[in-house]
Amino acid sequence: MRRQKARDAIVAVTVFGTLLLLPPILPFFDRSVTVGGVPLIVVYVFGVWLALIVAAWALSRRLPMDAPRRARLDDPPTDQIRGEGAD
Amino acid sequence: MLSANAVLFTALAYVALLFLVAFVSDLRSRKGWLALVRSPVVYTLSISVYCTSWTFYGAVGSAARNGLEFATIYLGPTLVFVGWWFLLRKLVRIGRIHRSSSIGDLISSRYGKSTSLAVLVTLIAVIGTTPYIALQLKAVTTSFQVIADATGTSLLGIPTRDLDIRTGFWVAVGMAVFTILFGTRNIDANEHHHGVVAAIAVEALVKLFALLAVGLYVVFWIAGGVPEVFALPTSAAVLQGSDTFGIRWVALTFLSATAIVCLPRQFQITVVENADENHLRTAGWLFPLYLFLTSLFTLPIAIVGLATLPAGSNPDMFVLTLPMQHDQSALALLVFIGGFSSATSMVIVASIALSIMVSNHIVMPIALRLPRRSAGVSGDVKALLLVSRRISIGVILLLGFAYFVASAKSDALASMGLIAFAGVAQFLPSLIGGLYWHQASKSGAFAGLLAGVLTWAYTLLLPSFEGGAIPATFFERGPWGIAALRPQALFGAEGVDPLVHSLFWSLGVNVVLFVAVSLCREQKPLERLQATLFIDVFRNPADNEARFIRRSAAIDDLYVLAQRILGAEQAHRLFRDFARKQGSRDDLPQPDTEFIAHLERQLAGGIGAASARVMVSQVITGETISLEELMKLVDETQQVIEYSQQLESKSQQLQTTARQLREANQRLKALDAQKDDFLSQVSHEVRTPMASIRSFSEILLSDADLSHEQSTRFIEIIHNETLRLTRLLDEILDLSHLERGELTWTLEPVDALAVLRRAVETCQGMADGAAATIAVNGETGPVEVLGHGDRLAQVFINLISNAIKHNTGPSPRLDIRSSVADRRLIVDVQDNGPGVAAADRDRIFAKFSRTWASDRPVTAGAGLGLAISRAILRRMNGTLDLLPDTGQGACFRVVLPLRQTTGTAVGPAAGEQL
Amino acid sequence: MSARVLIAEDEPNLVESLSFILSREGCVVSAVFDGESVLERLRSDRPDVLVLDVMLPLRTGFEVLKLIKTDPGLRGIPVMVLTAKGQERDRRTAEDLGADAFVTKPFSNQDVVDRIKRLAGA
Repeated sequence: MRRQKARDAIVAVTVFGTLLLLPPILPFFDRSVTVGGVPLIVVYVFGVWLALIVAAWALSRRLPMDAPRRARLDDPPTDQIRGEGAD
Repeated sequence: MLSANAVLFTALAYVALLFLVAFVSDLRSRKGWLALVRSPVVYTLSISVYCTSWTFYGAVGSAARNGLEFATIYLGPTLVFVGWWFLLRKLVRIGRIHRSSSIGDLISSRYGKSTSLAVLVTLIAVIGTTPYIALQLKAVTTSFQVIADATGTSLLGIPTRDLDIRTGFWVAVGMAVFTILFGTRNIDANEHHHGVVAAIAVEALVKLFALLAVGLYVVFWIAGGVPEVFALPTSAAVLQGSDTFGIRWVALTFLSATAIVCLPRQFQITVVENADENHLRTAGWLFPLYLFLTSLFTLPIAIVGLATLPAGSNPDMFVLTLPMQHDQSALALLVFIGGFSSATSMVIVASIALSIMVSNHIVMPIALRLPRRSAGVSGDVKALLLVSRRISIGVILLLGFAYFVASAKSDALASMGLIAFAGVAQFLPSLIGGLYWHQASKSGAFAGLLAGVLTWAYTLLLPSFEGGAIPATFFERGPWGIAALRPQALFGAEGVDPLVHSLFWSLGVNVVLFVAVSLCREQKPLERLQATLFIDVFRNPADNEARFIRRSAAIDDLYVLAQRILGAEQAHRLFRDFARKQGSRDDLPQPDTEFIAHLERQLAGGIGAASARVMVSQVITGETISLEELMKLVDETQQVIEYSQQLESKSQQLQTTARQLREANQRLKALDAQKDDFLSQVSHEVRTPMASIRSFSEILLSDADLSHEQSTRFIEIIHNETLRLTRLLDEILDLSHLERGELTWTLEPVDALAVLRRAVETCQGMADGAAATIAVNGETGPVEVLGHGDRLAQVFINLISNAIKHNTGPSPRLDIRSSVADRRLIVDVQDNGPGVAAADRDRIFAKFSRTWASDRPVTAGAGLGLAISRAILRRMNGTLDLLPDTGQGACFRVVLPLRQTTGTAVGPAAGEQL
Repeated sequence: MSARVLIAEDEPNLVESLSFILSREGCVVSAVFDGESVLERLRSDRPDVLVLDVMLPLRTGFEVLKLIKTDPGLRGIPVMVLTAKGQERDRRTAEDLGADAFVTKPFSNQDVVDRIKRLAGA
């Protein structure tokens, strides 16, 4: 259940992040308003950007770990796949 | 001002440092100390090879010209990395399982290990990358000349003399040496270059540090704070570019997102050099953070540069010229080293990636097609590969240098970054389709790629030569004067941004052909197998391959082959390890299909999937691809998906069932308790009359002196008590039948009022005995309900007799009112007695609920009357309730639905009753 | 003997039969029909033995028994509990509350007489 939630959350973050950073939402913030001396659009773009990073950081800890895989020549390939459920 | 020698010396010292880092890392990794080299942070830093000198210098230039647009180049990759779980994770997994050595290898492997596809991808990569390398050479040369120029006019950021070709040449040579030294040391089965990655990571730190340093300096020393920067008049000019957030913004974001996946150097670092899939977890947020920090000061530097540097200054050099203007030589030198870092890291990784592709996909296939030489010598293929890679690196850098020389005097390079992005974006349909679409076929991928890249070359690459080799009229009027074929206005699409125009047509043609041809052409078995192994990579182990392809070969032939490609030592280790895995003590494994598949994958890591397949095919004696097994695999995959879906719904069903069972169990427990209670009540009710009967019988039996009256009286009591017992048992049975729904009587139309009158008559005697009066009011006419006359009478009699019995008032009176409303008959039985005590209201309808009145007559029932009455009425779809206490005695209400009839049907039925 | 017996029972027929068999043995019998009256009668006209039905109106036999056995003035009166609920649980409740005898309905006349005699004689 928790896996599923984290995976859904990462879809939502990616999709909403994309929408927020594209027209028609983006030009909405392109107006002559300043926030602490910085134009609104600059604050908006960098703010969304930072929010995405924080969200990705938070979610990266919740997503299930893959079994550590070392791409070594002498690794029997069978060891590389076990323990992975249906995607 | 810095002297050229000082700059040169610093740069050389820095290069020496990089050599040292690479050397030490290589040495450590050879000894197995991989902790540092294989850390997720180093991995993330090496991905920042995305930020070339185009970013380092050019982002500020872009911001100065187009405002925020520069950010799109970093937002696209940010989104791809934030969503790493979907695309990148799958890409890395596939890359690692199938030992992909390059993006060309991965695409060719997916489409049935096709050599032709690999060649096409390689050519596109070379065409797209060469000008990009030239761009880096130009950036290093320009920055060197700007920083080392003592004339003072260099603040314009434009070299006073022509570009120094010699500088560019030596830079190219230096990079070639470095790359050959650390990039082609070995033919590793997994193409890991620890030394290179370590050096790239160091360079990533240096360029970020340099950008942050110059950014902080510009904002806080030169401008005096963040608000001050945006208060400069140039701020408005920079930010209020017309239509920044239009279709070009979308196209650039898409393009950069595509580039971070498709650029050969990014694929090399992200997929091929990946040491642990979990590193993506860190890179998913750390790489976007790196991009964020890189871009943080771009706007301020552009604004301040435009405001304070002389008019006509080159915005692409603001990062360097701003510190120079304020005589900050050390900072300027740091910036130069940062720019140098970003250029060299790109060139090194790109040339490694390209050399692997060229040697694996072009040189190897040619060598394999040459007439076979005599018996292969151990390591000969490996040697050939190493040599071809070294030569490739040299040739690629030479090509880049040649391009740099040829375009040194034009501005064509400035837009080269985006042109290259659009070129490699042609990989996207084949790549994504290959990862998610089973039907995607080699023919489709080939057709899409070829058509896409030709369209790209015609609409974007060709116009970049305008004015040079190609006359301007070609672009204005189209080839042979055909306007519809004008490169920047295909089919009349005029007035569109050239990049958007080219992207639309090239990717459009690419996707359409890819899909259409894939749908038309049947896949070959190997394609179908690879498609399944790639798309369901998280479900199917790669060694599944052994299930479908049955091959046999002499182990000696395989050993010779492995030695030729991997070298004696590695081949020996590979064979020995597999033999151990097979459980053999011997150093040579059984050459079964599984081993051959394993060997082929290991070889593919060195020479590419297509070449590995060709080489292995040369020594195997028989090969069959089992179509049946293949179909089974597809079926199995489907089954697994369906099965997991079924499981999910099953588990939900189970949860529901468990909940229902729990509820049922609780109901059962409650019923069980009720049953116990009932039995105990029954026992009590039976024992009481039995006690009288036994006691009096014993008196009669034991006492001979009883008078005749006494005997008669005792026998009468015994008789009454037996009647009471019988009645009780009858009632219990009756109630039990009613509750179980076993009707011993059928529902028929009855006149409820006639029944009521009969009941009143029956009770009249009892009422007279108690000196009670009964008044009946309300409806007079026949009111027909579906019921049973006698049973309904029983209910009325029960209510009336209860009212008489429990009415202890001085002048007992009963009011019976009937009315019809809402197609229902309502009968209220009201007495003027003490009413029902509040505590008893809830339980008078329960079984054995008689209240323990001291004056209870002997004939009183066992307290089942109301329960039975209610059960009877329920059978007739009616109800029996005690109305709320009004302080005027108890009032019971019977409600019965009228018989559902058509209007005329009431007449005859009513007539019968009369 | 002329033991004074008070019967607390709401079934008139049982009151009659009990009165008959006890009077025949020489007891002086009186009766009440609910739980409230028992206590009044015990104080006003103290009997030698009390026959107490459990299912009494107004106040159950167990409640009455509890009051009697916790009242220092009444504690000494022997009580025979009479019940139609012959379950073991009721017997235990009666014993816990201090009943001196426990008889289940339907009862044997002789058994009741013997027990009353024993209780009266004690």
